[in-house]
Amino acid sequence: MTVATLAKPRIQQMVKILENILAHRHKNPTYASEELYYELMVKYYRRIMEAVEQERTIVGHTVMSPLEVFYGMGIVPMHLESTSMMMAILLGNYAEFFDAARSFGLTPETCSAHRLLAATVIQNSLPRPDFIVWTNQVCDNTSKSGDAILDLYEIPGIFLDRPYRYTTREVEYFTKELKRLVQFLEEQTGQKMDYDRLSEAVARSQRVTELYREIAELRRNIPAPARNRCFLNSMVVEWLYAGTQEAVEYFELVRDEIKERVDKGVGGIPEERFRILTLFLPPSYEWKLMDWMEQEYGAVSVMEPYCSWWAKGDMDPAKPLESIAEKSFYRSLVRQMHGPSEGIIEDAVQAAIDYKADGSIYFAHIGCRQACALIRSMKDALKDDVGIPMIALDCDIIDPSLSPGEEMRGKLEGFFEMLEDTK
Amino acid sequence: MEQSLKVLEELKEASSPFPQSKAIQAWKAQGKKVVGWICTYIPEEIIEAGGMLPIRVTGAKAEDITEADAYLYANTCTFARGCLELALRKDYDFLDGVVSGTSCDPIRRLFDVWNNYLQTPFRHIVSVPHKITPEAEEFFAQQLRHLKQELEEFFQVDITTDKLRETIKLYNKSRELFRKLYDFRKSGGPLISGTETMEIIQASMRMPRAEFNSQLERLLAELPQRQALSNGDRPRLMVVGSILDRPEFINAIESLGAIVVTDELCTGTRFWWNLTDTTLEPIEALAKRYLNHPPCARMRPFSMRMDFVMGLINEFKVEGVIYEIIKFCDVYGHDKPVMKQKLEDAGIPVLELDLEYGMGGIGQIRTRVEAFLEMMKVGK
Repeated sequence: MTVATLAKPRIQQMVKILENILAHRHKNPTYASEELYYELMVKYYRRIMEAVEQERTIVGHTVMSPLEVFYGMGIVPMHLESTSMMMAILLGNYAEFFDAARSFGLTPETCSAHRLLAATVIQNSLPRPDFIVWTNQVCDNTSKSGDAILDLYEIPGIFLDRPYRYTTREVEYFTKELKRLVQFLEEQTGQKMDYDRLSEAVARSQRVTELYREIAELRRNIPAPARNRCFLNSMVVEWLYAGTQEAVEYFELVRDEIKERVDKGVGGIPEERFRILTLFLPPSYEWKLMDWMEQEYGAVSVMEPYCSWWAKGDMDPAKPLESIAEKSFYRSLVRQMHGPSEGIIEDAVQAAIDYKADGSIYFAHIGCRQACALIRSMKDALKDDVGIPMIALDCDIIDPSLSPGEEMRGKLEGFFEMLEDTK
Repeated sequence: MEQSLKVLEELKEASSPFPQSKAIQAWKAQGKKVVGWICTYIPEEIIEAGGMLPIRVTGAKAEDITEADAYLYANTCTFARGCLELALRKDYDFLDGVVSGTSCDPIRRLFDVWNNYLQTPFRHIVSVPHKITPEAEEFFAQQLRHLKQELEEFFQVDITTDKLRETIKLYNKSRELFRKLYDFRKSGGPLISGTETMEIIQASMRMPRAEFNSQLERLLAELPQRQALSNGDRPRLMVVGSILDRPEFINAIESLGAIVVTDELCTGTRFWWNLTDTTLEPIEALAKRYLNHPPCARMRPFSMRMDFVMGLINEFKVEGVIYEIIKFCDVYGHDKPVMKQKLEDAGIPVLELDLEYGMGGIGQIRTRVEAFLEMMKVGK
């Protein structure tokens, strides 16, 4: 099968399944923001599908690439890791993809998210981008995945090198990298960057950052006003829509829903029993685990220092590239993953105090070297500085065969019982 | 039976035991400082110019990792865990400082954990760019100036321009000698084995460089009198991949009849290949030299690494490649499929070996290498 014949039906299938989920959500409404989340997923993948059909320029990019720049250029972004993961989840063809990655020669220890990505490229399941942009945000796998993609697709690409510490020098260096990116995009598309449009995208990104912080403030309330799904959905929306009006509207809706519950003094779930600090990412194939924690144990994630915590910093639309560069040092996930450990440990300790956490769950994704490497340091800090226990839950970000949901539930049951005993 | 080299025996004696060799003990006995470095992107010259002895931190001889497993998760590579194991066992307590780079995720986190739990007096990490551009060289030079300043302040020393120029010459001298050493492996009848070469390079990382240079000069003078190690009948192999600092591993390959004639390792060619430009301002020159040395798999673009490997294959008349990866080493793991394909397309057979960093599984490795050599023989 050629690229056109396999990629197109697969993206069409994804869109169809997402439309069905959305229709189900409309018939069985929960929160408006949860319905909007699925509307945005449909819209995102439909836009890629239409771009394939209309032969519009698609930029494939790895996680945490500067979306504002792509939207500023008026090109269609395709988040490579999210798209391949969503494809595996929706089409249920994990085994096929992992087999393809193994046949290609990637070791099983390689991060499963990036094995999936390689597999969807090898199999021509992913719509073929016109070029790719990849970065070392957030890990060695993101920084290495681009090499094979360029080789397999034989397309151009640009790698963005984001330095380690949040200092003026390092922001300046990354700003220069973004200037190179603009030059690259202009060369590839034959169009000039629309700086007015870029500044507008930056202004909207800043608005989303403010909303994230506003939501974080509201979430300090007891009972916790947000459901566990909320942080996961929000993270994905920000990954796919940073710099757009859709993102602003989504986060305004989330803020309004949470504020309404705070004003009424009600929580996101009927009965809150345990306030949990969630560390790193729950498995994508088992987000239902987060629902189960709520339903069975009244365990609500009060803050996620890796995924939902934005450190200090603001964007200035008058300095768009500088602002985007700087954002990559204070935004969630990147600051925590691609920087010294003091940052994430201090954030987590402070969050445990501010959000009055009873305990913490660390999702130990076997493919993630750097998140797992801090488990002991984090456990000691939370115990010594805050006095709360932490469970490290072995799992995989996307491969269900490594740690089935049932096994994780069993371990969590023991943890919640222990928390109950210590109350 | 290979003739033993007298100077090599002396080098091995001076650079053992590991990690605090006799040479290091003698240095410390003079009241002088020792600073460990963790990655070949850290310029030893800056440390040496401060009057300190730079030595490489590795996890060699940490076969049983027990204590480090409590601090670094089991999915961290055994190199990082091995280094931490030795540090936790206090084997690195003699260090006055440790300097790391943001080389890869396990190394970054090794530094984090070292910083969180160990009391080495001076601890510093350098942000190393992932690409080579004028901006990256300038940025890296700033990072090295910062390292220099931190060393000066902490150890109360002046790292002067003259001193830097002097140490650059000293280290360039080593690199010239290493090149001569490798030249003895280019002919059909190499005069030195891969095992011995690795032992020599290891010694350079564990003793004062001036002393090492004079020993290596003596060894190079001794070599031409030696009988060739092959009549052209031993398969000529190259080892590429993750960090490998165990001469025993190379010996396991060579004892099966092959000869390792070169390598693409950070304990081999990538450590010494290019010289520092002595005409430039020293820190600028070091930034250029270290960023532009033959690339680790962490660097972009991949083609630089591929070109270097292909160049070595031609220069050293390599007949087969062993691509070894330490389990959980992502950067070399990602490169492997693409490099293997390109090598095979060029008619070079490749043996893939997934290893633990220590010497575990050596029996299995011998079996795999044996089969590979058989396959090469049949394919000839």
